[in-house]
Amino acid sequence: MAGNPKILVVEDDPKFQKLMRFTLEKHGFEVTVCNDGMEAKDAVDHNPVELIISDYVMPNMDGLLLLKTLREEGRDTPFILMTAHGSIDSTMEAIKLGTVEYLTKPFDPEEIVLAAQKALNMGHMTRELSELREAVRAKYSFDNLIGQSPSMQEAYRNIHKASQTTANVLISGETGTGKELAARAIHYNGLSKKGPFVPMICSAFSGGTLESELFGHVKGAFTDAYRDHKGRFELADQGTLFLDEVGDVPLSTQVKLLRVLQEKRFERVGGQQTLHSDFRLIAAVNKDLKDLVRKCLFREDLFYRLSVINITMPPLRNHPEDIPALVKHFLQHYTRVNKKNIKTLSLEAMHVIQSHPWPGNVRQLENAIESAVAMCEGNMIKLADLQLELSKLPSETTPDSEDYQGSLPQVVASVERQMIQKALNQHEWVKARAAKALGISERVLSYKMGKYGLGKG
Amino acid sequence: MPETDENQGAEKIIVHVDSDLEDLLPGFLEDWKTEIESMREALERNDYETIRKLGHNMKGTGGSCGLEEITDIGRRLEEAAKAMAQEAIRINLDTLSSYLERIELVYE
Repeated sequence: MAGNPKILVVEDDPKFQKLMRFTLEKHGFEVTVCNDGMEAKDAVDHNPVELIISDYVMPNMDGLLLLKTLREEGRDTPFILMTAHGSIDSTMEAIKLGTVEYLTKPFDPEEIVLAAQKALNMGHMTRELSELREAVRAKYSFDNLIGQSPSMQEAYRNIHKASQTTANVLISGETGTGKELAARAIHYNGLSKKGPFVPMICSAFSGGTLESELFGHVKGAFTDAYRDHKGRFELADQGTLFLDEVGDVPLSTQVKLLRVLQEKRFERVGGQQTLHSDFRLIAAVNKDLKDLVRKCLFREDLFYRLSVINITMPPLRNHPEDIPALVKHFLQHYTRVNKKNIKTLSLEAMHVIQSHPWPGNVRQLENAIESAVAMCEGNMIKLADLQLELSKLPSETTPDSEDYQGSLPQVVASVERQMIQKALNQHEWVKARAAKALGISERVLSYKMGKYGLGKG
Repeated sequence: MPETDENQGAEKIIVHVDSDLEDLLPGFLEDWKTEIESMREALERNDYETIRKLGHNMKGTGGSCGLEEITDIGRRLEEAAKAMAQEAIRINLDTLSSYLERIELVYE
């Protein structure tokens, strides 16, 4: 709110009213005075204030009832209660209802100024916190998930379904496909959104450290344990724990993980006390977890426990039709962040982006656009602004003769095989579309696939 | 007037108060003097609620302005009114009246 902070004083003693108004106005506050709770309720309905300072005992509606009525209506205006009584019951009730301060009359007028400043600061912090929460929710809202392709639409449907339950979720996908973004979307739109989102990359920790990070440790549990340490399970209480690269958790820790998932109970490393945490688990993998199960590197029971809901984030090469929308989104975002005035991309730049293989998926595309926005000097991103290694672009491939060994027919066959493989991948093995992209007939494509032994999987 | 005569020559009570209150306190002292009369009239008609209320307000405002004595008298008046103790009310009104006649504020 602009200008001086607005305070409503609710007090039935005319001299105390004068004293409050005089003191608060002297410190730059804008003060309105009401004689009782009813009058105050009517006043805040018409003119919202940033702080209410109210006497307790008043005719018609007392201070506690005023506070109760406002809270029941969902108003969280900071409230200071003054009383000449100081009864324990009213103090407790006022505190439960969220009073910032409780002052017993008589008090030095400077005390009310300090209390008002503290209450206003708390009010600002509460407002900022709820605005930030709202901003985070907006950032990870379903509206920000981009992509009209069937594979992405299926992923969104599953993300939405997962957000409506508390079941464990397993998100699979190559690096850069947006697994954490999907996990955050589930959390911030889901049932645990008021709790914390606690991410952890399992592969970043070795065996012992991993357990200490997951379960916490007590002081003295090992040489460097100088103090008690809360683990991620504890931190994620009432919220969501996101375990990225869960396939890298060693077998010895997997059995402990299984117990926590079953019972929601665990002990800190070196500790005796059993702790309880009510968390929702989302795990992610960038490798084939079933394959690890087959190779006995991942416990089958844990796999089933983790994958109650399965979500697959497709690699960008499987949904290239989403590239223009993603480019537009990132372009708008980074233009705004960098305060630039870039409207579009040149056709040439767009063509190169669309035909790039993007092994690092959406994250790599985002980085490329961010970098191009930084490099761009005009209002259109040109090919030169893109920091892509052109030698890796299929359309620009001019292989060095040293790169290829063998005769000309052998090199031609090798390039032909690579191009066909890439086109098939890009078009989800729909031969008609791959053939069209390659500029050959479907019949020729089938023949060449047979010749090079190309088949799905 | 007899009250004035009684207080003539009585020792002044010097109270040091915050200079910020210079605009407010003279008016408050006058209000309390008027309230003594209101309470005496209330006592005549056994209206203890008016006395309790005014005593209660004095209790809150007095000390907040640096006048602890007003808070003490206010508290005693409130309690006496609750107990409908006529004599105690009279004594405390006299004490208040005397205090207000003798008080001399020093702003600092």
